[in-house]
Amino acid sequence: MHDENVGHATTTGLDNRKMLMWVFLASDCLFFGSLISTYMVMRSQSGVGPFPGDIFDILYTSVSAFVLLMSSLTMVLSLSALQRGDHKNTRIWLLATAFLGAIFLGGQYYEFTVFVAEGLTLSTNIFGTTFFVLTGFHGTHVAIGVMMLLSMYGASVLGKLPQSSSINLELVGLYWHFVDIVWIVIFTIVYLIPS
Amino acid sequence: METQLATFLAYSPLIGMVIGMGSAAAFLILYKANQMRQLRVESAGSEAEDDHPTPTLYAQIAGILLIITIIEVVVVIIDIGTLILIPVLLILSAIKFGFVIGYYMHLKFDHKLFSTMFLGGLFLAIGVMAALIGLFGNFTLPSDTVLAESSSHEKHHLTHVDSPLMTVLGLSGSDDGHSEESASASSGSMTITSGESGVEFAFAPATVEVAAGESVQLIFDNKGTIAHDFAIPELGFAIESTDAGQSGSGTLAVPATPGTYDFICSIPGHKEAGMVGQIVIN
Repeated sequence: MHDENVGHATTTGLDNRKMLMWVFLASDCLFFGSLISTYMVMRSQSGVGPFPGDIFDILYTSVSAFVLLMSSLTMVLSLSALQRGDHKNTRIWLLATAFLGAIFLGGQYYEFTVFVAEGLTLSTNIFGTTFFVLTGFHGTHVAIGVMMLLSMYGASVLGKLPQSSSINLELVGLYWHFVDIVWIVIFTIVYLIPS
Repeated sequence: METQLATFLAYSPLIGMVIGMGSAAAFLILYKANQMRQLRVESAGSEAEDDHPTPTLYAQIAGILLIITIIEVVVVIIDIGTLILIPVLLILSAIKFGFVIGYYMHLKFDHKLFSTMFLGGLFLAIGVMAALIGLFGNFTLPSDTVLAESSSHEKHHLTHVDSPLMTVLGLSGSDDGHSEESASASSGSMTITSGESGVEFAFAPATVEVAAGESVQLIFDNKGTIAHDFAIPELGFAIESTDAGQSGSGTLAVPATPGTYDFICSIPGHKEAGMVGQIVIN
């Protein structure tokens, strides 16, 4: 029987899938780095409003940031449970993580709605363009992460996520934590640092 | 300062709620994690307890992350001054970043090669960001003044611009300029700039007036940091793309009928970013 989760010998002695995930995350740093610096360069260049100071609600966004931070904790608890073979807690924490991710997305949807109502769209000014492209791509990452978490939950329920293949959950976890650290940076640079 | 204090006080119930919610969540998680650890210790018996993070440690880190986030928000709300604020915020978020990649993403305990791969990309990204910000300049943190000026540009209303260029190029448009002083003021030449006072995407002046039927020499002076052009689409007039720091010119045959037309920068996205003004024909 072929067991795909044992992993074959590699020249580095490390799991290639995990290496690939780290390389992907490194490349994603460049992706978000470009978007963040574009935002920083352009945000105060708009000729017409609304300007950043007019529409940001820092406390609202702090709660979103808090929700995403906590989802990182539930994620790591889920992995830790699976590594101990505790499937019940694996699923509970997985669902909690997906739930917190969904709350974050809902919060972002609401925030975007408020901004559009206040007159800021993708094409209002260059601040709107760079802001929505940056946070929109982050939101897309979160949405993909929620789908990955739910598919992990499904796999666990169907018994296809045994303790021996905890690497699968670990990879999803790496992606999920990365989305969280990107938000740590966006939250600080986009929302907290005054423009 | 008083208004900031008022804002802070107005928000304090919300802050209290967030802190309360956070503490409650942290407490519950710590309690649950402790239970799990005890179960594990019971089941694992004497199995070696290496320096691998335990759920308790994960929860403690979450508490630290939460406290740092609260500090960040509080220093922004009470406004400790831009000069201190920015380094403080950057250091605090770097600490959060470090905790998440070190413990939650396990880099601290994993093979060094993973760290090398990721940190390599991260530093490359930081380099790209520094290069982008350096190249495209105009990165001024307290930009309130720039923003204030940009809105006053909108209202700026000039019939002609007193610039050295105008006197040099003067009267290039029409022959009868010498005989009629008032006409020569509104015909002749006119300078419109972009990138004035660090506002990249705006024209100054945003409104110009010209006399119907005249021939006007329009000079477009790009003082910004990237290429722009100047076009009046409805009149089929355009000054081609002008690089940063350069100027271009063209002669506009003003229609005989009064009207108002938009002038824009036709580079995609620039009009939407604010590069639009009006030319009024009297």
